Amino acid sequence: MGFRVNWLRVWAGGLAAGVLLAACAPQIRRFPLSPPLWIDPDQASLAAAPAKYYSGLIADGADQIVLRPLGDLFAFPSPGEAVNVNALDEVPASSWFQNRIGLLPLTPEEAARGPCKDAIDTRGPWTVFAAKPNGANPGFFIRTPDGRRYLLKGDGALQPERNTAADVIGSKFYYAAGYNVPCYQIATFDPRILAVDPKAMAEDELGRPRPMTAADVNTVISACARSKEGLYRAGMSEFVDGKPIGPFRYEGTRGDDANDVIDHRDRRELRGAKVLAAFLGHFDSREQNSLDVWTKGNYVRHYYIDFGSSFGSRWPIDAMSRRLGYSYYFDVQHVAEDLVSLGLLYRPWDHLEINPGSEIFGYFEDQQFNPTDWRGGYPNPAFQRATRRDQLWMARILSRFTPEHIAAIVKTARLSEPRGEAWLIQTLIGRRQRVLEDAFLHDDPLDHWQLVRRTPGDLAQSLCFEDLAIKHGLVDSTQTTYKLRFYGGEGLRDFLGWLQFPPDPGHPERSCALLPIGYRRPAQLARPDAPDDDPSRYGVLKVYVHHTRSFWPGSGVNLHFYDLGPERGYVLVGLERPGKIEIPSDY
Amino acid sequence: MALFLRTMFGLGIIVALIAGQTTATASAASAATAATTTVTATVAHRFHPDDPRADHQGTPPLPPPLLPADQGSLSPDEPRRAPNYEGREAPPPTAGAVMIWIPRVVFFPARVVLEYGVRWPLVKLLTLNDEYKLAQRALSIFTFREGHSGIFPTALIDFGLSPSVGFYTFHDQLFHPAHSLSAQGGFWTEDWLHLSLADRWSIFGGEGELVFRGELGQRPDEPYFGTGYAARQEDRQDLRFRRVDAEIELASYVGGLNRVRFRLRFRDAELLARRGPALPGPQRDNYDLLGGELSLALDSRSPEKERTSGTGLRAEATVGYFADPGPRDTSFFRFGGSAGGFFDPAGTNHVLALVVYADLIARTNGDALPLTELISVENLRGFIPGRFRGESAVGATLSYRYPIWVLLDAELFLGVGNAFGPGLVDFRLDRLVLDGGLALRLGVSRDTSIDLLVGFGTNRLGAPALEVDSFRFSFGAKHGF
Repeated sequence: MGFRVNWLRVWAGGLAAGVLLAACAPQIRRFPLSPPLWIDPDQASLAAAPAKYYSGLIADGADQIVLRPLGDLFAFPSPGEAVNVNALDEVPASSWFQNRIGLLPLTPEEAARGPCKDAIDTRGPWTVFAAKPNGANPGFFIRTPDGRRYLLKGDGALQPERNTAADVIGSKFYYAAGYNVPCYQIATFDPRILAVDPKAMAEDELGRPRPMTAADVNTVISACARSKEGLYRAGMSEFVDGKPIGPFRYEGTRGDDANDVIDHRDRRELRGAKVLAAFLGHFDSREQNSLDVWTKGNYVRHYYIDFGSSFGSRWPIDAMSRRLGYSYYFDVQHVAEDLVSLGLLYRPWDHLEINPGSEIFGYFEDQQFNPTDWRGGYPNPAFQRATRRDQLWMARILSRFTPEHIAAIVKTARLSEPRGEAWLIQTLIGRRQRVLEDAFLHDDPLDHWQLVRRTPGDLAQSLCFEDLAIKHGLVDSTQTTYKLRFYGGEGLRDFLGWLQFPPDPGHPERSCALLPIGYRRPAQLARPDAPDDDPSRYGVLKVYVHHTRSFWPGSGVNLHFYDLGPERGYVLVGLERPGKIEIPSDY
Repeated sequence: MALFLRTMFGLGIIVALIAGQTTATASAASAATAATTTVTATVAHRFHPDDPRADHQGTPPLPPPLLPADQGSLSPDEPRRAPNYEGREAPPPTAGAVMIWIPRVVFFPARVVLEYGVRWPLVKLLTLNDEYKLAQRALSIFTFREGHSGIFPTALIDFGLSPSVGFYTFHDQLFHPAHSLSAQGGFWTEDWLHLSLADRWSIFGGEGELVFRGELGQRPDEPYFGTGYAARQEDRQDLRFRRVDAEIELASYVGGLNRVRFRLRFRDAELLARRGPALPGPQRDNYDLLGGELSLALDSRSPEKERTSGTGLRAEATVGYFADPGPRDTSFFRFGGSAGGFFDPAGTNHVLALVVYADLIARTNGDALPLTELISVENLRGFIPGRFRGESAVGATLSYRYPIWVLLDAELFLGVGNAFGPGLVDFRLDRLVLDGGLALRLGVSRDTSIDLLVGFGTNRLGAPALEVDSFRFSFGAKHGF
């Protein structure tokens, strides 16, 4: 007697069981009673340095524009939230990122200083020891008398001062946001302090090494803008400590780095950098403008470098300059849409004008700018996977940059035209406002949650928060209402109370609500001897935000607590920003 | 009475003094009370939530400003375990996350082929090219004089989709910075041969060009459908022609897109064979022609497409005279003209255009013209070149051109036209044919582009039923309208 297995039926049955299990699986996921993870320990010492990775411009461009989309055609990737996000929807510190202005105080002066320690000694002599091998802007490497090494680059004739300003300013924003960047500074110098090391090498057009000559130096410094005193202006980026091993990729992991275990497409700091790049107009945020460094601690640290494309780079073909930031270099979607629609779709690049008096900043502006629709030069795998939560995270960071921060950072670029400097500051403030509008008018604007006993000795706890939409003038606080509903019990099915209130006109951007919400608290549902992390002590506060007088809330956030009783109070252990807001039937 | 008043006044003063003292006492008391209240308020003051003196127990701690220095070590065989960032169990899979596995499994073979058979090797190859500049090194084998000269093998260039092998050589700045020489050749069996040589001099500061050109061509696919308006698609026959041309051309832009061109040409042509019925009427199997042609184009638009409107007018006129220098008494004038209006309402190079054209030949003696010297209507782009031949032609084209990418425009066109006898003597509207199509046009200037075209053509408008009887696909350079 034979025995046959119909594998198709077995497989279909297994799939159906999986679907049912998924539908019936328990939905309560409690945060632990512990501080959130703030350190991601990815700086363990490795036995050997990872191999050097080379990334080519044409290879990466072709891969991202054509080949990767082709390869993904039948991959059916699932969109998902970033992996390295802690219980408070924030990013722990790691070799990729350090929390700075987003969560910790940073003065405008500190933001303007960035990672730089000392000013560059421009007295010389500067020894030129190598030419920059590739990239759109020529440059060379120098060593100053104190032994520090720098990459020196000029601006070019088309947009004097823009490229070097973009490097300096961009690096400061990235640093303040939390990323690792080299120190970028502007230097004005007398070219007579340059001396070519006899062993200095350059490459010919076929990549073959050859001795570097004075002509190579002249090619670079002829692209430098000149000050009124006749000095040359250059952008200088200081070498970082360690040995460069090539850029990092925006997808996958570095296979020979045992610390690197999260797919880069699913790292929040890489996804969220899309918003920062959009804010600065840094369309050239591709893998070649990143750097992995093998540090003295025997681990890899990840840097962002080269921000020179920011602030309206202009290319010889004007039609391309207009599209930067709005469309990829070759954007299949836009080409197909325009072809089929007979070119009748509204395209923002058709309506751009160069601001008179600030021509060096090309088409960089804040009126047509749309952070959600922004695109780099070609697709970036991490940017494409960025979710609204990832973008909201960076928007919260950008909201901490005050006009004073922005002005202090821009001034480090030492632009010679005060009108141009003022215009750039105003445009960046405008673009920041667009980012905040895009984020907080559609998603959770509440931040800076605190549990506070504001009156000493009083057992009453207040839950305080900031409304970033009100703080930045995006909404009318008189139209705003907050609705809070508290749930507890083992299944979180016990409705413990509700509260509804408008912001206080005296300080509308900041609100506090006295706890408990309602007449019961989770601790009353717990046994007296229940341990602190008992599920019966767990509660979820659902906060709904109404910025208009409409029935449906515009956004919401869920806060997770343990209630340790009236004396020890509530402990905030987690925060969820749900993509889809569900309101109860008795809302 | 006076005593009473003095008493009352004194009492009033005393009362006022007492009241003042009371008031002062009350003020002092209230001040004391206020002070007491102030003191009490200070003690009972509610701190700002951010005040570090407030009790923040229960609020999660902020991140530390610096990372810890020592995080242990890892062996290469044991990558670190990713921490549980949120600290809670992972969310259960959704139904969608389970169902997505169906197409993943079904299309897995295709994915493997695309990812590892196409993407991976191509990326590796392109990376090697970037790192070691392979393409530049390969090109450098074929170039010399620091890239100013080169010779390349070619294939599939000369004869459309028919095979060809050949060469292309160029020499820029050969005898002078403004001088260049180029030659191209291709062949395939004894039927297909093409050789050309061009000696160019840039003049008038780069606005003009003097060209000495020689060309030898032989191919068996010169289409001939007949002469005049009645020529039919199904009457096609292919002629095998050999031509030798020698030409001197002087052309120059004279401000914007305004252009003048003078051409002097000698041609020796021979009909070698044909596939199809006998050609009607007296024919010239071989002939020589010597003549000249003067063209003038006036165009009000800016030559730069970028940052300028596409609205404007253009007119072109051509006059030429050709004669057989040999014993045969063949000679004729050629006249041609066209006029076009362009409307770009938004100034964003979305241009609606209407162009009308007419050409005619005026014979100066009674000899039959060689059929390859008849007017060939090239403006009906939905038909292959040579479809319509006659001693006169007329037509009009309506088009809409719009940008779809940097330097790349799409153009929809619809036109009417046909070829006729001498002097448009048999012209009638119902004898026109219709053509249309879509072209993708790549170019910096308004009057020069490289076009990829898909078009169609119909029978005559007066036919009992209008039918599409021609399709065309072409790729090549276009100049002028």
